[in-house]
Amino acid sequence: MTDDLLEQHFSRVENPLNDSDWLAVRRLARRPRRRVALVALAAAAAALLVAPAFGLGGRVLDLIRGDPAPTEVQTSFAAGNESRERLFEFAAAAGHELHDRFSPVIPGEARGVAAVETPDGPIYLWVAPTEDGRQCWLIQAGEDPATGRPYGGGSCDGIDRTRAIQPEGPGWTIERPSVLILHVRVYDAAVTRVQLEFEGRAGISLPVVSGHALGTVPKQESVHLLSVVGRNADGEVVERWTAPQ
Amino acid sequence: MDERARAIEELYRERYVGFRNALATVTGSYESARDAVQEGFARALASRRQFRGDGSLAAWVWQIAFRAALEARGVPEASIDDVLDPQLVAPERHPSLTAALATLSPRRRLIVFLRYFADFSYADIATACDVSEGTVAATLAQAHQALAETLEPEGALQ
Repeated sequence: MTDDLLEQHFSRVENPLNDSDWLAVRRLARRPRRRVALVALAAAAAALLVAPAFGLGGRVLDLIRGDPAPTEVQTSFAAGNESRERLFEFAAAAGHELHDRFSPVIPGEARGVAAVETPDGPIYLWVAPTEDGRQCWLIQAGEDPATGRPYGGGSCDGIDRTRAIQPEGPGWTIERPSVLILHVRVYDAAVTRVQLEFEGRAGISLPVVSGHALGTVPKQESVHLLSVVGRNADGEVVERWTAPQ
Repeated sequence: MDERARAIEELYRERYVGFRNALATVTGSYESARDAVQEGFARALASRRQFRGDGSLAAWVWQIAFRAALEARGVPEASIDDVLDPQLVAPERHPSLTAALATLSPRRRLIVFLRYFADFSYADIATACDVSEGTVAATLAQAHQALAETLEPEGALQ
């Protein structure tokens, strides 16, 4: 049976009515974005204060407390395991000297750490421990409407932590229409707040939760991060990161 | 309006009827399929920056509309093979085609519907159903065979 013959059969049962309405589609598309319940920073911070640190099989998990990540996020971390492992294998096979080692993320232990509301919709920070006690994170800015998979990007702790404060962004994280995303990884537990200073624009101060700070600034043509100052609960400067010249 | 928005509008104007007819085999009615197509295109328009541009726009929008249809049915994570059972909306209009389609698995039926209602290419179907193009070709060949066995005795179309 040919395609043409089958097409004739199907043409007998198709509905030719064209009841399309593009203007209605455009109206629907302009609806306010769904407001997903945010993982409140204050609540997460409070959970940190009351939750005792604990260990599991030698893995350090005390910095990760908060809402369990949804299945799609856990799946994303699991997929990241596969790609990271392949990357390490390829690099080793190609003879590159590795300054890091692969340790799988534990997707089932992924937790929400922070969320910020932006004109482009909420942005979430999910964190999961690795088996050797480090962390990987995913900054999620929505989901792929076709697959439901989280849309975003992330990274993992390196094995060699030479800095107590490690900023990401602006410009190194995922692209959003209206804002630039700023993420700071903090390895010093004494730091409860980070102050980000920029060239030619006002700085911002962000709380540190589970070793991470997440924030945004309105998008401008040029945003240059000059320094990140880590302060303790008393407001004293504990650490400082300065952008390389 | 940017270039991608225009491409989505063009796709909608050219393929709306095919999308709705194909989706109706999943939702069970043209009305619910229309809602899902409208919702799917609206989500695609709002999220167009997330389309990577390295694949088929039609297949990407179809996946979004398909998810919208599943959500409307309350089965957002449904598997085609386990839960869905794509069917002709008006089977009485062509009983022999209905009988022939019944011999196919749900996934093969959906591939056939995407081909003949939505006019999808093999590549589009592969993306839309998350299978390889070879699988689409093999599935359609098997479907042709199965349909031929039932439909050809019917002879020339009336």
